[in-house]
Amino acid sequence: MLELVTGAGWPPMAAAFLVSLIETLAALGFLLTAGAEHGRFQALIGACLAPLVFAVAIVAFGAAAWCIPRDLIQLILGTLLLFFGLRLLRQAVLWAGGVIGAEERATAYRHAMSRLRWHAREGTASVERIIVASIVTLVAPRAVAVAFIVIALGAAGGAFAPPAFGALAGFVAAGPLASALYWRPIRFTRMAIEFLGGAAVAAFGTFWCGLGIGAKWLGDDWTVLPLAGVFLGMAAMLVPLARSRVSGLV
Amino acid sequence: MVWFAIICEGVIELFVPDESFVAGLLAWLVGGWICLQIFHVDPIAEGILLAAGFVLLLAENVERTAREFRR
Repeated sequence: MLELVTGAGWPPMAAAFLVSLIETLAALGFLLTAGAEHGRFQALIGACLAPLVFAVAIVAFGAAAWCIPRDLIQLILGTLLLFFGLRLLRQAVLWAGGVIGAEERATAYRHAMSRLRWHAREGTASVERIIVASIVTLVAPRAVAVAFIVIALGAAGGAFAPPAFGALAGFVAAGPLASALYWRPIRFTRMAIEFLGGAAVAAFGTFWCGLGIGAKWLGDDWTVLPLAGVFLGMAAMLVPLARSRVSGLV
Repeated sequence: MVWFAIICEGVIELFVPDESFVAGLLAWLVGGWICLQIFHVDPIAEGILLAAGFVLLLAENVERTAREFRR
């Protein structure tokens, strides 16, 4: 355990922790909203089915990583990690800059619910089953994303224990964090976690993409830290730019 | 299988927020590979250029999204 924290395993562990925390908080948000709108029983069933999706995703991604040739694994997984990390970072910047607000972030929930309600009216499935299916369809992508991050960081980095431990710690920490930060600070804390998580995953993605195409990095594995710093610094500079564009000052 | 389609859409959205952004990243990556394999650019310099390109693409996309939002 101490070796995980003090050795070279802590960067992927930290990245997996942050992503797991972000996605678990998002899933908790969907579950709480669905529970308030449609009843706690349906939300509970949806919450219990989501780990099954996580387990299936772990097996699927693990099998795929096993089949991909070793020299391609860093390039493919690195590219996907880069997309995921930059998506997180972009979302955090646009949220902090006021370009997207809570309404837009809630759109995904309403969109999925309305699609499935339409099928409930057209088909023979019961409304309760549709509601449970809606909850699973909202939570499942988050579970799939965390499974992908664990497999990608583990396969490309050569050790599965650090990202697996980090993801588990993030999952466990999400509930107490959400409870402790129930009031105003949660928006700032979620934003900060998305900035850090996005920068960390984008840094890993850039590092492995570079290795995959044949580039070299000064400082070998430790290059991830300054790369994450560069992404974070650029994201911090983009927030006032986004705000000024939205307000029309520039 | 509507639920499966919605899950797949949700997973794709986690990786592809904006098609032009992802296309730009892929084009930069392919360009980097071409520079290394065909023009034999210094590998360390290529790594730095790769990272710089990704950062600039992020900046361009954020600026364009914010500008289009204002409109």
